[in-house]
Amino acid sequence: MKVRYPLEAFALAMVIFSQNMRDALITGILIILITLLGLVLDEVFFIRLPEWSRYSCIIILSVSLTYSLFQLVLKAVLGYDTDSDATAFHIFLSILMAKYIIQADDDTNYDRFLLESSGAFASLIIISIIREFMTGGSIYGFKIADFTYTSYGFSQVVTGFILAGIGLAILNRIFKYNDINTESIYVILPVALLVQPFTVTGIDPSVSIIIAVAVVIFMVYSVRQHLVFSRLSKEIKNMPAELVSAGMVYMILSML
Amino acid sequence: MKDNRLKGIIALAVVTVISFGIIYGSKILVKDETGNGNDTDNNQNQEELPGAIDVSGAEGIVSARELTDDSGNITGYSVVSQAKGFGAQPVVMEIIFDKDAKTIQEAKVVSHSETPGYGANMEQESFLNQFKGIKAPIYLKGQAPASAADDGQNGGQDASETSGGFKDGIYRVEADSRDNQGYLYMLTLKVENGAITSVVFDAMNEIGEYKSYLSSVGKYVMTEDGLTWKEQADALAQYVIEHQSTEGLTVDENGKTDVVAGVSISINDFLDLTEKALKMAATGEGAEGTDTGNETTTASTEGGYGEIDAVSGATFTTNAILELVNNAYEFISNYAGK
Repeated sequence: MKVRYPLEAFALAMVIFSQNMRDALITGILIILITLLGLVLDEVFFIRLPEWSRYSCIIILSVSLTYSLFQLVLKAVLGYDTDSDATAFHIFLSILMAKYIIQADDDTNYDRFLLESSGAFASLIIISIIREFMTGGSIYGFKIADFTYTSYGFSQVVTGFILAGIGLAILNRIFKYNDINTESIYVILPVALLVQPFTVTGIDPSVSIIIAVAVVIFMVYSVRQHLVFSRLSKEIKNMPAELVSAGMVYMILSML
Repeated sequence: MKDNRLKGIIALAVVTVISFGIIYGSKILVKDETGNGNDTDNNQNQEELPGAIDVSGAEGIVSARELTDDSGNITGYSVVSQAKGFGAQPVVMEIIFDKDAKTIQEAKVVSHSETPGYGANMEQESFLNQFKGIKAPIYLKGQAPASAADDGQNGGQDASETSGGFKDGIYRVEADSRDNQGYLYMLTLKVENGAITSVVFDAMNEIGEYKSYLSSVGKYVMTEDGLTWKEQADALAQYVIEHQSTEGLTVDENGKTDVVAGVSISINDFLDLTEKALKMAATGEGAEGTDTGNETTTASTEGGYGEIDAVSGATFTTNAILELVNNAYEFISNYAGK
């Protein structure tokens, strides 16, 4: 069963770009805009091209458009600074969007695309509100309350993974996706590459990164193999369960 | 098929309009936020204030102005300066200089987006109080270049003769090279009235993190049940303060000692640095003044420099603060012709 919205791109956004409402708003709407533009161009022009050329066009379009639009909106319009990690995550997002466009049906159902993308966008915003509020008692940078039980932990990727998993499971339930075939590794790998749960001191930093990424992937893969034999409901199975597992793995490895 | 394409194009037009709306709305909210009296965002449009100084072309300087008394005499300078820290937004601080355009009267945080619990600790009063009365340029403790150290440390406060065996002053020494884990050991010894009153032994890695901090937050663990590295370093320091020397602090072939209870680390570095500092204290060579009245601050003397403690666990934030304060000093000293 194919999903009708860019689930993997939204999943990555829910993990990384949901630390605050500002990032979530911009990221969510740009994912919908770029994906929709890609789908329309694919249907109007790219469909006539040979397969290899069509794939190349979609990837180049997605990456270049994502990079330039995010830079334009964040830097030129809103005046924010973006660091290299954020830019790298934008590139990963663009690849996931390109993957969705390539795998989409030839005759795209735009009604369902917009409906389901809006649902995912709403989930992204709700997750961002929860995380931002629980981190510092503020929403969209405005201080709402001064609680003593706020925690910096809500801004960490651990919470991002767990809330993303829960959010996607709820979306699967709402949209009645029972058996979707998604690859959570496309979401977990970019996060592991750029946000390691631990560092090994006393060795070269690049070696430390390789070790941390390898450990994360190995542990997530082990849990995934175990989940195959577990009796989970169909909405939670695959990506939601694996994202929550990745959050748990990060939580454990962060203690090292 | 054709209808579907048309539907796609209409959907694209609608989403584009909505995107513009969201982005424009975000922009309005951002503007409102900056003028909304955010706790740390008390940025003033200093260009409109009396005594404003033209800052065009000055790197990292947001605004600057002269501070005057009722009769128009300059009493100081205010410089708002910024530098990139760890967060998405730059760290912006207002530095108030004395009329000599060198002595810092006060440093205030204007805005930042540093990580709560780490870089955001720069807002703490204990950190900001370090700046009061010190002279720019500023350095991290023990990292001033030799030339600045000579000017500042011995410029007006040579070690004084005292009644005890040592000459009063603060003596800083560090190892010649890093160990195989990348740590550079350093020791600060304080002598007051001829007696050693404080010894601080620490080590810093290549990214500026102190071993004492790492061990106290559990990032540098030797044994689960014994003393932390910091507690062991403190125990060794206490031994030297009690005995006023390292005599009796025997070591085996592995550099370990059983003289101080609970200490399991190799103490060769500690011994070397302490003996080096004691030699300096015996002659007064390289002594810094001790009468700062503030343990965390070393106020330099005329023509000297200031030293501050880093924001714990926030190297990027600390570097940003050093950069923006020194940029502000460079700008205002050029302006004032000092």
